[in-house]
Amino acid sequence: MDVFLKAAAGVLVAVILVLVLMKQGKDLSVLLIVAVCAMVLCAALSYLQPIKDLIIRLQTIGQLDSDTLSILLKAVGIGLIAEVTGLICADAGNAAMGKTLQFLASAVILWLAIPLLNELLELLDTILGAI
Amino acid sequence: MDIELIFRIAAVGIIVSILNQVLSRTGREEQATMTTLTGLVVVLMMVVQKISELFDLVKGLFNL
Repeated sequence: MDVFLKAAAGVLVAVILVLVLMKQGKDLSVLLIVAVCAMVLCAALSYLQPIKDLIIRLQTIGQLDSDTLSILLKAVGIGLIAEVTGLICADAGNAAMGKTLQFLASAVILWLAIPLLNELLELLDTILGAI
Repeated sequence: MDIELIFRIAAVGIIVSILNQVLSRTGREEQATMTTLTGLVVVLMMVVQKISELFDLVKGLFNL
């Protein structure tokens, strides 16, 4: 909880500093935005680690396939990075680059999901074959 | 969370902007540009370390 309050205060201070720097030149203010986003994300990820452990425990209890969970986790990580990068690009006035990166992330996630889709097709084949 | 980094970047930005204005007013436009570039590189070095730390964290957490 202490980290959250610290982050909220830091972000508020950083917003004011970004406004001050924006008057002099946009380049340094964008770098400040990137640094703040990276710091807040690092803090957020430290809270996500126990949640990941819980998910792995649930997977062990439910005897689920570890590959499926791994693909899901990778998709979440790629989506997170792409979303934050896209938002920063949009803030810097380069929305096109951000959107392109988000498109790349979508393509990579689809590529990662190919084994899952193959499994689904095989399952459908088995079910329909049995009928 | 390293709040000091925010103040460090803001301080570099303000110092660079002051130097830029002083050098521009005294007719040293080239030096002003070089000062701005140097400040940018210094801040970039700080930010790159943080981004690297973030990517390492994401890689470790999501098994990328």
